[in-house]
Amino acid sequence: MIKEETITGKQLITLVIMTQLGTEVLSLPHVMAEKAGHDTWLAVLLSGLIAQAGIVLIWWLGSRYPLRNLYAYIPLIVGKPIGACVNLLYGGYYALSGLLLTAVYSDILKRWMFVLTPRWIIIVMLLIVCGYAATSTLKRLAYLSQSFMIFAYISFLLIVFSGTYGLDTLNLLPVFSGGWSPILTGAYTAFSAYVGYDLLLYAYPYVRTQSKNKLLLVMTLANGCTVVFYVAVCLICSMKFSLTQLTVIPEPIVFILKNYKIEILQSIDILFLIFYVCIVSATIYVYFFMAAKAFQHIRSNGLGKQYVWVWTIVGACFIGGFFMTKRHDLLRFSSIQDKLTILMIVIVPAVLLMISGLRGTVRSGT
Amino acid sequence: MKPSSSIEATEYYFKQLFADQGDFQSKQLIIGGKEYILFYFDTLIDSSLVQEFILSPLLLRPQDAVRDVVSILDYTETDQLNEAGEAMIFGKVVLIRNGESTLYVLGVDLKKERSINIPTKERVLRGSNEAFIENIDTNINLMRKLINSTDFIVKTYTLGRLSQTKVAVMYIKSIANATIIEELDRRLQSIDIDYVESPGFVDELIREKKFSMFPQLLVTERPDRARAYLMEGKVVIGSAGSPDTIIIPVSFWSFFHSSDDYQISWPLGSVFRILRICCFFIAIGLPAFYVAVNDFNPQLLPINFVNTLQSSVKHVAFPPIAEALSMMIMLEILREATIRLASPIGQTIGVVGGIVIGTVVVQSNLVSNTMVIITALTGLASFIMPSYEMSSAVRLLSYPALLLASWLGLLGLAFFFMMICIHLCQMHTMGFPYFTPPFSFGDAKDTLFRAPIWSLRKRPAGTAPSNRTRLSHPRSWKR
Repeated sequence: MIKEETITGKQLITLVIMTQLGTEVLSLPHVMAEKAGHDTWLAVLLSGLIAQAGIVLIWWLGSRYPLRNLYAYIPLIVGKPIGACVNLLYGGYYALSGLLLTAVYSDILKRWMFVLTPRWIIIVMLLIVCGYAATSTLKRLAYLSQSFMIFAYISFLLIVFSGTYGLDTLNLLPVFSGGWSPILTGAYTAFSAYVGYDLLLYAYPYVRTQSKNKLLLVMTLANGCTVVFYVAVCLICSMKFSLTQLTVIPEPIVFILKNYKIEILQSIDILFLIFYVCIVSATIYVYFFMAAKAFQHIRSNGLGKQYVWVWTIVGACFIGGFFMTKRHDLLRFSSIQDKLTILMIVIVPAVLLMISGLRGTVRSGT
Repeated sequence: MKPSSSIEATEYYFKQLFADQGDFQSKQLIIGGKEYILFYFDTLIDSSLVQEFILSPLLLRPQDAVRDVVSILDYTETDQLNEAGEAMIFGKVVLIRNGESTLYVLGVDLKKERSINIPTKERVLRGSNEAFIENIDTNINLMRKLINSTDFIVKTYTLGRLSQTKVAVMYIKSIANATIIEELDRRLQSIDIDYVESPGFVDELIREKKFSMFPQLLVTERPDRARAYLMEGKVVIGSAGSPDTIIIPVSFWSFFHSSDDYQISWPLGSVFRILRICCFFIAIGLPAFYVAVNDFNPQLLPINFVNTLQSSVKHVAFPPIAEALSMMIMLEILREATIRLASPIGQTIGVVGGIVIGTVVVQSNLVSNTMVIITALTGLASFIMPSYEMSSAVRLLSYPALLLASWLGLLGLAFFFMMICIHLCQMHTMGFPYFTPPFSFGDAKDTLFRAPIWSLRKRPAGTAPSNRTRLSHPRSWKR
């Protein structure tokens, strides 16, 4: 098995929060307005609870193999040939997620700031930075995420303070206007925002906590922070704009920030969009890292070097970036990716757990 | 090679060995009827010591054994001719007596050293005014006087095939992590080179990241600073011929610390430390920020300020990037020139640089006056860092930042800082992380801030010291 340094519980919280936060902070209120209407925040909350169930699932699976990561125990559960295929699938999925996020964020940047800049330049820069980060170990990534965490704090404060006036709580009413169905479809859409907790699939054996229950607590805490972040964003946006406005504005947060100026800074939105790159790349490099690790684990004693895989993925994503230029394509692609996500981080772990339970694979010492 | 008991054969051997050496001497004496020969290099020995402690006792008691007669502490006997020959190069006198096959190796080396001076490269306002000198023994003496403990260990190595430079590794046994000592030992043992110049050679031969711009060890000439780091479980490496000692392993934050911080009250110390860290960002990013704002995002700043900016650039023919590059290179030239020149002329350079270039360049519309301010600020901000290595690294990093900013604007600058952050996170020295984000209170205590002494009860965890308690019962007189 490939060696990895251990991380602390605190570092895991940071890693998970930073992986969960992505472009959804900007786009969630817009996307959800079409699906869940006034009850956006309820749907987001519900979705967070579903994510919590997902965490428990992954934690349960991981606790059966406390000394191995997902990629190392898949072959134990389903056998070597199928295991290699599943690992390949995971690698492909994470690489694809990284690519999609890169494309979406470069699309946002292009629309708000770099109208004339060729898209591939932004994509190349993002990919290089994230690829460089992804070549390191889990512990180094944790340090990096801890450094970037300061931008998550700043964003949260900016978003909350920008929403201090001009809010109309009446916009939230009526609650439950359409019954459960819009909330449920909304929760499905919002679920992709919580993706990132699946880092636990890989990180489980490397976290130093006192007990496995403590680990679950740590994950819950991380997920809870993300839920608070998203719900705050959705509440502020829903209270600030009417539904029709929200369906027109793709990134309402940027729009709100555009409205505010202080004496020495005239447009906070530009600054926000720029340092938001740290938060987005914190997600992308974790995806690339997970993808590279998945490919590396195709053979049980390690296949190739991590940095070779990372740069291969980056190269592939660069080429892939040329095919994702239209917003229409991006949206279609991301809806496919939503389904893939459900498959990869909910269904596959659940199936693995069932097979593992049925076969009663040896728990300790593996 | 064994000497024969014949004194002539030994003399012949040494004369053959040092045939070309102009300062090699062999002195034949007959004392009390016995024939003696002294071999030595007359440039390396102290002749008064030879007179006083070797020759006069021999004259007084010619019949007794040499061991009992000569009153010299550094006394060894050998029967190997080549060993004795090597010892002579280190300033020993070799004495033989006719009829005996033993060679007496007596240390009477001449010590030439300058006196201990005040530190010139790391000035502080308060605190000790001693600096290390070129003599390693004096330096070890200074350190031993600061730490009067048997726990303070000085290990010596000899590096350099030809130069045979003495290198001393100092640490505190009960604090330093054993893995660091072992790893350092392994790395120092592996060095096989003809001569060693400290700290440069040692740094490059034992550092982890070969291509990193950031300094991975701290260089100091202050014994008090060395002691402070020893107490955190770090290792100090001194070497003969250089007043600069190396401290290893260090973290990124150590480069923003000065021993002054601990001499003034802690709020002041913290403020100055934060100022230095801000200057890190200013020195790297300010020119780049200027170019990005001027070229790409003027809407970021208030309209009045942008008007001022634009009006100063209006008459300048070159784009901001060219202005910035030329002024920064100018600053670099001035800096290099002042280091190389003798100090009285150095003042002149300051005048030429500051007045002539600064004013005239603006008056002749070659560079905008905002750019002059920016360059001056960048230069000052980089020099505020207590470590010369770090300040140079930071100034050099501002060039790629500038280029990226002129290409992608603020986004380029953001990418650049991310790259630096990733690079820092990937670095490690002696197996310990180089950069740890200080965003929890416990970590920030002695990195971002200088917390009061009474609150620093534990030693910093960065180098995993084996004993973490630094202070127990602080200010217990109050209770």
